[in-house]
Amino acid sequence: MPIVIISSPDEETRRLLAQNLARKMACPSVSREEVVEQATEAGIPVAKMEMAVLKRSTPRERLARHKARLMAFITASVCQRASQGDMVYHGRACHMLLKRVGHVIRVQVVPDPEVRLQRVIRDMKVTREKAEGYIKALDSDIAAWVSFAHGVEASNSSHYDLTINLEHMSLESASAVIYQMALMPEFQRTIASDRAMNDLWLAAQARDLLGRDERTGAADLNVTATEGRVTVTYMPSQGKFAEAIPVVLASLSGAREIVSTMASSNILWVAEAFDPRSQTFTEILDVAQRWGAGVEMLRLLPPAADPAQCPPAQASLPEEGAPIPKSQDQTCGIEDDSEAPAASLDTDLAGAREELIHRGRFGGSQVARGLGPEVVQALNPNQEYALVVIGDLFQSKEPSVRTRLTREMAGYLSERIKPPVITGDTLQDKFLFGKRQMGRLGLLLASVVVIYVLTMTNQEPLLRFFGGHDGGTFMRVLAVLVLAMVVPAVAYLYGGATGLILKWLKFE
Amino acid sequence: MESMLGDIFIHVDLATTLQVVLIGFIGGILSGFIGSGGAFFMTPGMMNLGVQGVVAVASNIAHKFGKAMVGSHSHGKMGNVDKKLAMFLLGTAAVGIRLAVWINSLLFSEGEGASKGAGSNLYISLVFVGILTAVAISMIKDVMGSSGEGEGAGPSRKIADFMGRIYLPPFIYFKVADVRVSLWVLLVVGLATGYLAGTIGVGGFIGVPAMIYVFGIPTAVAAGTELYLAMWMGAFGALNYAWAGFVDIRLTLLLYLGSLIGVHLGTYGVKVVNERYIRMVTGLIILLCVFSRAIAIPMYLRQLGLADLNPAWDAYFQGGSKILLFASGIAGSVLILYQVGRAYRQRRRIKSTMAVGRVPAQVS
Repeated sequence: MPIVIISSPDEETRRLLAQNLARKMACPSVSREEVVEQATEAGIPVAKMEMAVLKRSTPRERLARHKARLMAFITASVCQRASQGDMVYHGRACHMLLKRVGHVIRVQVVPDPEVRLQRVIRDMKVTREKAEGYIKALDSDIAAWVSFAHGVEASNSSHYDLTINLEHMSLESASAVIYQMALMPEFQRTIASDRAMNDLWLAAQARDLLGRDERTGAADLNVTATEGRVTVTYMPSQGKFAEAIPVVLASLSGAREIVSTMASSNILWVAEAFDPRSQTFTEILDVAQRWGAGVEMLRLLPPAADPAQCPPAQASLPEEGAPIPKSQDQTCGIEDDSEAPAASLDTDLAGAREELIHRGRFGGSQVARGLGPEVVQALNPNQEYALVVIGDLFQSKEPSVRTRLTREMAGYLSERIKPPVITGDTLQDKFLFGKRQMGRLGLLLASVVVIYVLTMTNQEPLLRFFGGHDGGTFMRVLAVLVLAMVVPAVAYLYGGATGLILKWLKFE
Repeated sequence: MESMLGDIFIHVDLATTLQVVLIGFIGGILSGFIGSGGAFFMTPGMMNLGVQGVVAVASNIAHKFGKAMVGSHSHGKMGNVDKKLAMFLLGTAAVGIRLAVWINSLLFSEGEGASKGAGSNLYISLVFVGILTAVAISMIKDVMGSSGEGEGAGPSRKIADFMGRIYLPPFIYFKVADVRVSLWVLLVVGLATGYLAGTIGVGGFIGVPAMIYVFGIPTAVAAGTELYLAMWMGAFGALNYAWAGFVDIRLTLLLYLGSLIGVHLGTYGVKVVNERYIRMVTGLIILLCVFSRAIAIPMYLRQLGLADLNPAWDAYFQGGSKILLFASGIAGSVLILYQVGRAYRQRRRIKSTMAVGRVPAQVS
């Protein structure tokens, strides 16, 4: 049976539903509140964090360290219990906890508003209006917390497998629906889904361990794990923690390898294959070194094509707002049931990974099967991405189709994620310095020199013109218009030239 | 200093050119490091070269307009600009700028001969000293009072806590920043930002903290949105001052020569220097700039006939103010550049540490 995760803003509704379902599944029911209490006992200031978020008294970035610790604690706790057997977990927006784990059913429960209202009136002994105001304020506070904790809107149905509205359905019926869904083959445990959960668990344990240790407790870290390999990235301004990280994590059981990388952000490189001898690799590494960024590799395998076992392969990318389908890894199960090479690091990926580690730029790696939505899902909400590079994809297609699909993919991602998205073939033009950039620099510098020479050799006429001493209203209007055009033009020309010079000097 | 066109503009020779470029360079470093426009250094810096206060503000605001346009374009590509929020703020910011330009123009037109512009200079200096003293002291106090890194290291929460208790509908939702903000709070913040941008060119000192602590939006989005707002405010301010004939295009262009290089160096420093250090250095530099401007105030008082001082002392006031400003700017820039160099060396050392620190396959 899968792990069932129930999200709802109303604690009593989700608790009753979880308990009912747990009885049917003969497994324990665990609430967010229990785990948060344990987190508080472990020294994570959850209440203080909640107040800071609700009062907006502290920038969210400053709470990132505590948030990372809390998320790691909750994830480790849920994974630890789930490893012992089936379970039902319920919370406000806990569906975001075990992203990319196949044997999880994410359920959104919309409480019956009238039932909720009557309960508040009864428990708090207030009028209907006050109860309505209370529920509205509570939901707003929860939404703010969910936005802070997971970076998503809790109401976004694309993150759920099932949404149940209890306005027209009893708890018993809702529980029966979820139970039936839990029996479906798409949600059963597979080797791949277990592996995904183990990686999440390992990363969460590593983050928790680093947070508890006084040598690394004050560090802002991002921790990921892939196939037992733990990657820790830390900010350049926190270099003092570099030596302590591997020492603290030496006691982490289950880790095959630990790599720590100093990076202020990550460049996500999405491709089907990674060749450390390729031009794209060299260019991405060059950009990462200039920016002090880590390179995170996402190996994106094509969607499984067997229509008998899988949902129809998408001919094109889904529309905005459409639900994100479960990745094919999770739904088809063909590759999942065996130690298939597709799900492990292949030689080239391992080679690229080794090279990145050697150059001190490794930012983690992961494997997914699918299209744009899977890339969106693969983005770590706690990681800052400076750039997303779409490398070699759709390798089995004709070159022209490959180009079109790659452009479509870049367009799809650009509309949905914050960091800039570019294709690998434009890296040189946009971020590196070559012959074309040298030519552009020459042109810009020549223009700038001409403008400055003209300005400094014609000071008095210019001041007369811009100072409004050369005529009436028409000349004034003209002077204002010229100024409005000249100033940004010089900023653009000279700014472009200085940017290129610094790029040339590798100072970015 | 020799003047041109009816005492409004100064004569720019090679020495003045180099000094303005240096002011732009230091202002650029401070701007990139602190995240503001750098006007708190550039405006008084130009005034110390003999530039009329109103011309210094006007030329700097025109410089800010172009720089913010380039900067906000970069932030926009990163998704850090909430245009809707910026537009709401801009509405009242425009009123604030117009108010500032009107006051400055009115004060500038008062007086004759040597006292021409003294009223405007005094007004700009007083607003500068008042506002930036509060900002600098608040920054230093917060750094001294905070225990170290983490959520306690931020500015005072009193204003945010106070604003948090106020419930003033209607509220407007901003998608990119992901916040709901009272329309009335927006209007007040916009007005204050516009007025300060138009008067001393430092609207960002109000706009960015307000967006972070009062509106509750992420720092990157606050910085990006402020730049976008600064672009429009800069454009509006520059056009208003240009209409009044106060923009010295030569100074604007010379500022660019230094500032657009300096800003890259300062921005690099932010990535590699501890936040407490940034705040402490920022607070001290601003405070020194305030002292520098305060030294010049008796001179303006004398020119307006409000203080009985020997006119020969003007040179000392002007010189003292200039030396202190340049000393603080150069010292701050050297400190920042030193940290940048140190961080660069440290990064090289850490890179090798990382390769050694890699733990080989652990037995599970």
